[in-house]
Amino acid sequence: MDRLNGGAEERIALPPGAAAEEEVRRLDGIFAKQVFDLDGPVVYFPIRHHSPACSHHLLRTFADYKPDIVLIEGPESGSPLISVLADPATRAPVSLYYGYEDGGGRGSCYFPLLDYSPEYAAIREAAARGIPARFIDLDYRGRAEDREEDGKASYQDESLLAGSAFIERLCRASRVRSFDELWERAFEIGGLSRSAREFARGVFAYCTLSRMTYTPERLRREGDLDREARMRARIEEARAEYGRVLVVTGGFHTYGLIGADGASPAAGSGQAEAGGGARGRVAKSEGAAVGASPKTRSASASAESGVVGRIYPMVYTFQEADRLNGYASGMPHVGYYDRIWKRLSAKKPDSDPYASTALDLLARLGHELRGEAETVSTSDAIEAYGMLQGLAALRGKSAGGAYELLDAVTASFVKGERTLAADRPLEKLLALMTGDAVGEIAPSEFAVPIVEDFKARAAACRLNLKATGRHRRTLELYARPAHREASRLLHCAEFLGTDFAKKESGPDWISRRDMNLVRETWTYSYSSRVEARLIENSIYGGTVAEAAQARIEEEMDKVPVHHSGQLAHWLLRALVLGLEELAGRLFDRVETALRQDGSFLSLCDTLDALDRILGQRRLLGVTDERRLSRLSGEAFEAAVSRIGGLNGLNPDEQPRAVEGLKLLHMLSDPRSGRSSEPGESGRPGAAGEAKGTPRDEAFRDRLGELLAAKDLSPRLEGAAAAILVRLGEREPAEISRRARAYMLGSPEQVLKTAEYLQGVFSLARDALLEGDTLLGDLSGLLERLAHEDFLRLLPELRLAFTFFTPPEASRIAERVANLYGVPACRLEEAAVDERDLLYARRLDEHIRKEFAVWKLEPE
Amino acid sequence: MSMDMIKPPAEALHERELLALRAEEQGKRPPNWLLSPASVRDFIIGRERPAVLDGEPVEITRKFYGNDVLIERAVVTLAGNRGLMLVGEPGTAKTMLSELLSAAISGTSLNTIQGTAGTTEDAIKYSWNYAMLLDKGPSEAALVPSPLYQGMKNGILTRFEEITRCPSEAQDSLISILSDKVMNIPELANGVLFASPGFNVIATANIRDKGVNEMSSALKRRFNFETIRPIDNVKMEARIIEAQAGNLLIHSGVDAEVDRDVVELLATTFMELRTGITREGYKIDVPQAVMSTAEAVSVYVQSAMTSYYYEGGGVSLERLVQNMLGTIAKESEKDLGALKTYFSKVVKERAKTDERWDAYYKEKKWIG
Repeated sequence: MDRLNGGAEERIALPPGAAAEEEVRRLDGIFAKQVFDLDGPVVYFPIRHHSPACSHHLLRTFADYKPDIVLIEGPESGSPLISVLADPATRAPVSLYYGYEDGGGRGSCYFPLLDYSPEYAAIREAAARGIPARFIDLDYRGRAEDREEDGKASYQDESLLAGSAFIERLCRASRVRSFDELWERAFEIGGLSRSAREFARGVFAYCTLSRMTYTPERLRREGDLDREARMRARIEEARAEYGRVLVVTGGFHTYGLIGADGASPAAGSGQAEAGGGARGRVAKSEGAAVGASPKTRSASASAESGVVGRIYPMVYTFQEADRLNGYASGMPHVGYYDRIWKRLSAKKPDSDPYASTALDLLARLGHELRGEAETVSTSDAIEAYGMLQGLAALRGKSAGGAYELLDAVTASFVKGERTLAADRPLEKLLALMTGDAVGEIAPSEFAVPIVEDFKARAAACRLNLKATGRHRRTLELYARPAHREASRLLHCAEFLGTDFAKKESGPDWISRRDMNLVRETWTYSYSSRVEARLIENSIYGGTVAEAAQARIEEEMDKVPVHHSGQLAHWLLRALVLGLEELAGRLFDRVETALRQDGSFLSLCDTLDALDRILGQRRLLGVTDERRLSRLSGEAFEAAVSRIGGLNGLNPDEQPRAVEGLKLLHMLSDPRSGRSSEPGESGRPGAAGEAKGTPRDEAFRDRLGELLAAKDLSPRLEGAAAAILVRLGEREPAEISRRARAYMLGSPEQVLKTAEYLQGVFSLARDALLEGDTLLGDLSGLLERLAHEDFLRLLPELRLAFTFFTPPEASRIAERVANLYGVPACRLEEAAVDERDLLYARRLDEHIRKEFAVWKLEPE
Repeated sequence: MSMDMIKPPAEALHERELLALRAEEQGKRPPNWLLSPASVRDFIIGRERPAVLDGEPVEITRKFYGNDVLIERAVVTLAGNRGLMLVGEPGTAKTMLSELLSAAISGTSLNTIQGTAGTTEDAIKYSWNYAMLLDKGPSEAALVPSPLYQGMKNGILTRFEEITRCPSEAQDSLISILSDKVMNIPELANGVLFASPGFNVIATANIRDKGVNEMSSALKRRFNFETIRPIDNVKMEARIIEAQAGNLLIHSGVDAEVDRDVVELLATTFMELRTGITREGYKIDVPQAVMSTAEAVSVYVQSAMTSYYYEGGGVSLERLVQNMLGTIAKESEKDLGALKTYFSKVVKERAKTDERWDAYYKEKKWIG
């Protein structure tokens, strides 16, 4: 019963009045003879997907009819999976996931099953009775853009359900808010007291009448006729084999399946058969592929249509099943109806499942709200329960359903004006009515290895995959090896694009942020989406680690062989993901690339990455420390040897080059003590390599050569001079001497002062604070500078001074004040406003005139 | 309908409908209710099938526009243990709904406490006829019952208008009465008044008064709250203005047809200024003044009366704009700016394609 409403545009008018009654009588006749003849060879049980009442009556029909086989509307290549679904270890909500590739790209389709879905009830009942069950619908239905939402389509599409003019009129006349409420009143609540035959008759009549509001043309376009042709063929096959066939399909299709659809099968048969036939073959071959070897990644293709598809059993969540969460294929309040079904299907069935579920939920709601320190009393719950019953009576329902429960909570729990803040009880109730369960698939040959691997690792890391909602986990990376393991898994999941986990805070070695933190905080949430993403990744490998490795390798193959910086970056990444084996191979590649790399910047990146790995080698689990050190040393030397080439570097890259020089300086200077622990060997610049080692000397020499180069850019000049001064190679005065050269130079050179200072300050801020020369010169320059030039220089100059911390800035201010012999606090005062000055001048003139009038002399 | 009242109470205005509904009543009724909950709902939101009174069909009209589910909840609340609190912006027909409910359930909407800043506990519970009290001492005859007292005694609804205007201590006198359904009168010998079945309280409160006399949480707990929102549909608002203005004009003795085009202009203007969004989806300034449906009705009635008495004709757009000024520029000067911008932006744009809006735009001169 995909579309219970009328198509808005192409509707055939229903016969009015008496003719309509005639029509209903005709349908009753068809129902008794062709649909629900318990003595006949085939019984068609019309359902609405995910309806507890349908499941309830379906089970009764099983008992009455005692079928030999049950046929279910569902993707036929899923038939081999029925045994997995029927396995008691499989817990709903679950789904069949059909991923396919056709001419238009990749797509996927879900077939969700909840405990109370009639399809699932049929599968389980068939297993309990030891009779076969089969899916009989087409797998592939072509691309219907309107059926997809977020690239996620459903086999049980009811998206056209709400919003048509017909349903709207019906709802208004019946005084209900929506189709779902109408359905609940008529079938879920009202249907429970009826016999199975009566119930099925109602569903059949209702669905068939809504089917009649569609033209055959529309049905064909939607693919319904093709599907029905396919299902009819399957039913025929089953009839030939078995005596009593029970067919469970959406009520919308029943009329088409019994061939009563006078106009449409005739009109559409030719095409439908043709289309169905062609697609049937596709489906068949897929079925074979799935059935034969689910583990090997063999997918079959159909020559005619070019559709490749595979089907898997997969977990599902209540959250995804709930339409209120924005999934088109869902239905509202799944958790609520699940509770109803549990009571309906219990060994001792509940005589009034709706009342007891409402009581249960009201009590739970009060409890949870009190846990959040909301003021909710038992009297609110009592009042709400009374309201629920009152509303049910007023609305002519035998019991209060989901909508009465919502109304009751709205009236009794929400205090004061309804605002976002006051609506908390309703929000909470809706969450309870959605539920947070995640299903489970029994272990089977159909399980996808990567999913199993992920689950096993997640279980080992004690991640919660049993309930939906975002879970939070804080990992102590340094202290707990188990937490490091968890971090690697979460990083892998993030890298594979599974949407499973998100890092909220923690050190980020790759983009060099927050590296001072020692804990990682993650939020994560498991859903069928995650599972689907994992399955998509299974083409890369059978385990999470393999897939991540294959994907990194794929990325790396795109990197040119001599870009050692990028390769080192991937190496770091591989280590963060815990891919040690890959890391071993990556070392080789980085080493090779290093020797071919001629770019100073890339070499500095490599050095930087290697240095970070070295610093965190325990955390990242590096085993071959010696090799890493050697590689790092090699990178250092290679970078140093390229310093000479920095002259003539593109101005955009100069700041990066300065960073590179800074890195080299830090690694060469033992006094900086950056992240090196005393007593460790093999590190460049560690204690053993004090001033005067060959490496250090090479660095000095290269810098000296760079500084001596003609036309060196001011920024690099500043940086090189600052490093050499810090290394004790040059006199500190050299910095101010070189600065003066710019400041006193030609107007063009003056403007380069700021760039030079940026180079200096990025390495040696103290140059400005040691002695007054530089400060005095700069101050003199600013006094001299024409206003226009000052404005041109200002932005770069400001940038140069951003290297200073606020206390340093105040110290500089003090020095400047000293220079001019004014107290430092004067600098803090705001300058006199120009308007004030003008005003004072006017006032002065005015007073003078006034004095003159009064013949007074100003003193 | 009698002409000797400016505004007849709901039970008089809809007398025939109520009688017809009572006549056909078969459903279960809460004790002392004149109608079943389903009929009360039908009376307020109307139904397609007419009721029959003395062999004649009586149409059950819709009297309240808006959220129908809210009405159902309100009716069920009144049959229960808690009072009903209607909250909302000024002019959202809270009072009208409360009148309709009490007229339908108890047959009278006049058993009302009109809350003010000066309302005391005496006015809520009971007071004394002092001449009699001094003469004969405390007795039931000397007691002056309040509407609440009457409601408890007779098992009918008591309406409490503008409860948040009353001082908190006066409001709190309701707390124990609502939970215990008992009023103690210590001055009398057997001074206990037990509430008869059918008694309940419908209170109305204005969101704009929030914080003036905030209700205690103890009192809040004894009420179910229903928030009434302004109507968000121009057509529906126009229909309400039309119906109510027509009614008021008849009762003021003004014999003039309601001009639908003018009503629609008015409804559109009010709705857009209230929500701050034009029907084209642009954002505009919202005046501070209350732009409720009730205000729109009064603007229309004022304009129609001015036109009727001074020009002897139907309502003119000139008068409409003049009267609108008084409504919108109530709270602050800035509001006039909002109206001015509305004319120079929105109305002007529509004037290019629509004759009526063009005529409307020509009256901008009155805004200055």
